[in-house]
Amino acid sequence: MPTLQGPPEQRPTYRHFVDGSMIFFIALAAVSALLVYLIRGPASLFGALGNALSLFASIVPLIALGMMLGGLARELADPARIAPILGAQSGWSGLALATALGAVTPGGPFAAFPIVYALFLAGADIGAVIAYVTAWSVIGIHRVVIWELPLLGHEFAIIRFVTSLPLPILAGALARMLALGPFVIERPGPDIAKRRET
Amino acid sequence: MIASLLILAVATLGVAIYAWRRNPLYISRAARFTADEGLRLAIRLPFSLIAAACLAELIPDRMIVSMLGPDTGLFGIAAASLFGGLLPGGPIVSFPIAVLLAREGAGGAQLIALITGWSVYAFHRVIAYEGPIMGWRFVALRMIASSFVPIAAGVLAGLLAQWSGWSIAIS
Repeated sequence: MPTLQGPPEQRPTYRHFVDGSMIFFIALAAVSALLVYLIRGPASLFGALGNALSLFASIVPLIALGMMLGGLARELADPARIAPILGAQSGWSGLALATALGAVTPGGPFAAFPIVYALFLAGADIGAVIAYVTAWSVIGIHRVVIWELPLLGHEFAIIRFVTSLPLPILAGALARMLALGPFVIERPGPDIAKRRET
Repeated sequence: MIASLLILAVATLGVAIYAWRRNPLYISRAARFTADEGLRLAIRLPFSLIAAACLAELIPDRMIVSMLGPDTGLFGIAAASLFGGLLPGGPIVSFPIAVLLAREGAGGAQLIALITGWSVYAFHRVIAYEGPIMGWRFVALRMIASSFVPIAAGVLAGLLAQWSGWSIAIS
């Protein structure tokens, strides 16, 4: 029986701060800045840097607050209690519950996909799993709070959230229908579990 | 921006009080999470914002308006969904790109399709996490079952914005 808890709490190391994605961002910034300089000239480059700086200054306090909220949600959520009620017989309420659970799951794909995998192994059906993934990615509250509210404003965020709310449930229902017919999915075997750990 | 800050501050305070009542330890653990993740982000954010600003600078305004402008309708929404799926990286790059595209003339419903396309199709995430963890049949099923989501999100949000009078246009 897999546990639904995330990886054990550990203090971040040097690798946590400087890793492949850090190098990716530096390279992306350098290459795109160089291209702007070569194609559009120095004035455009300074304009772009000014844009980046003003955006940075205005979103930092909001992101700090959003992360605190995300950290609190992480402490309060307990996926282990919810897994058994997401099976194939759970109907629309199971899909709605999976959607709600996905929406409150904080963190990036490195945190969410192990939970998805564990939910699937624990007996959630494919519809619930897909509703969960879709909700986590489309209406994930942590992302709305940390990124969307600060950058795009509350009217945009609320309208997008409200209209997207039923979509993960529909995606889950569609997945259930497909899985009955053309798309039988085996529960992931041990070889996949092993690959996940490496 | 100020309204968003207020909403966020009130929500954080409310949840913090609730968490503190259940277990005061939650607060210190959440604060440590914030400090660790915040520091990690503080190192990356300047570079990702520079990259987003420069990438937006490279795409001609006219092309953005003609492909993703508010008058492009369903075609613009579909194009934005696909374009969103192709955006690399996490929210740290995609949200700034959305803001900068908006400044260059992209429409609100198109932006919503773009963000939703980025989050649902997320080709980079599929390759890095989803395929290896869940298997490719799962990926195929999820892609088919949720393929309508970004376009529906854009269309529905556009309709709700029109009906409610709220603005999804970012200035």
